[in-house]
Amino acid sequence: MNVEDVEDRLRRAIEARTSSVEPSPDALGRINEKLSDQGDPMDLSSTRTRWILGVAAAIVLVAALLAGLMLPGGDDRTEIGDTADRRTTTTEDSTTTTEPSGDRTTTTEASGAPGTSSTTTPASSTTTTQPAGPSETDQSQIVWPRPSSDVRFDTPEAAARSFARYYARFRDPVVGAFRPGDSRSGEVPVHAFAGGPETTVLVRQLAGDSWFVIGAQAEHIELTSPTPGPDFSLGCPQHVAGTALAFEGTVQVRIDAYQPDGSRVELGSGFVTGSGSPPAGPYEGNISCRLTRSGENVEPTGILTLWEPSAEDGSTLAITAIPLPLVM
Amino acid sequence: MMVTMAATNDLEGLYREHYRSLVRLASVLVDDVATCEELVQDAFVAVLRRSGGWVDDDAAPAYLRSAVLNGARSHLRKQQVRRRWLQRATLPADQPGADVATMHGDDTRTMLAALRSLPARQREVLALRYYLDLPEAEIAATLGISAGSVKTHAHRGLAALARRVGEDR
Repeated sequence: MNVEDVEDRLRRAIEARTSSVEPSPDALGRINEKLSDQGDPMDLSSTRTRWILGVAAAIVLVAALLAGLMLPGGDDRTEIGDTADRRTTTTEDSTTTTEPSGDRTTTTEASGAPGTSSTTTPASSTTTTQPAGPSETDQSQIVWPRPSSDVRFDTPEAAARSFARYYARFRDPVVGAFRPGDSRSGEVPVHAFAGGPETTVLVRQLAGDSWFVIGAQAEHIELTSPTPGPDFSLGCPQHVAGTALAFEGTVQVRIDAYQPDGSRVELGSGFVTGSGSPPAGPYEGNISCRLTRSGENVEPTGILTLWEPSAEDGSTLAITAIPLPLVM
Repeated sequence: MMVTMAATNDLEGLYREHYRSLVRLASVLVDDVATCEELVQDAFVAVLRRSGGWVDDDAAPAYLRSAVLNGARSHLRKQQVRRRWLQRATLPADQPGADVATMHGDDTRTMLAALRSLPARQREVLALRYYLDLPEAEIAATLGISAGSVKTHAHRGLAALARRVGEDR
């Protein structure tokens, strides 16, 4: 086929496609809403806005000081995934999708063997706790909630929010609306805080109708190796490669396994260096780790996590995470 | 040349002039029309915010086009990653949007699929050329590349399309 024919066919295809596309009637309203959500750029320099920002900053500072005085002593910093160590479970209102304020999420701490952790569910919540676990095949796809826990989510947003809060340790997660892919999967955009970089949380319905996080993709941390396949499993040292844009190019890497009681076992950690200024640059590295020992009581699938820590407070800005089959 | 400036209160003007064609441009590259609208809305917001609410009327089309194409590229990259992971699952990954599957003939579907399988720069150059009929200089300005690169991408893109749709026949 010659190039002229291709040009002609391409033109006709594009014409057929584009002529069938009509914008929705409320599009201008949606743009205005988005502008309002993020603050009107014209108002940023106004005295009123500066006042509001100043007062808000003062309130946050006072609240932080008070919280610091009221909390018990010791280092209370938590790391990615540590909450699962304490079997924290989460439930939430399925209608909550975007705003961290007014969030009705509750957490409870429980102790004991798997299956004994209790979950407090608000009256309005549709999240349920189901004893039935995912199949072995399904387990190999799951990042969150951990397959051996009792926690299940009825909505993709709830699963994404739990992942953001309790695994990624996002400071003040903003969870967007679910974008369906096929009938049982899709993605949920999540920001560590309003205006932060986007992490796309991939979700799928497994084990009946429950929603699980099967991976996460940070806007600026792309993982091209390891890639899934029949021989895909943890190797030590674990080779990782991809492209990243982060503060000073630094991306933290960790390999986690989980015991059935929710305790996290760190199998390895390190960092790789991408680009510190746009565009994202390639990174590659070998992460020191150990294989799980025969008889070691951990779930057969762990998590390979890459994240960008905040230069300000060390909190997670964005996270890429994949399920990583462990060699038993 | 006198440069007129558009403030956010002229958003309506920008919207009237560019919104529909930008959604249609995005729809050449991305299947789902709702996603196309999101990308264009985000482009409006990004451009207005980046410019502090003031957009040079002459530069607005290129800024907006560029933001839409960047958004589409980012969306497709994430979609690829998602597909890669979903392939591991037992269920099928993303299917073409219902609008594409039901409203268009085989040739349209074939050509759009072939176009979307090209490297990002090639498909963007072809979309800008064959949907908006932009001259090379404007395509170059939109994509931030040289006019020579536009020619190269267009040439390679068309050659790759010819091979791909030829193989399908």
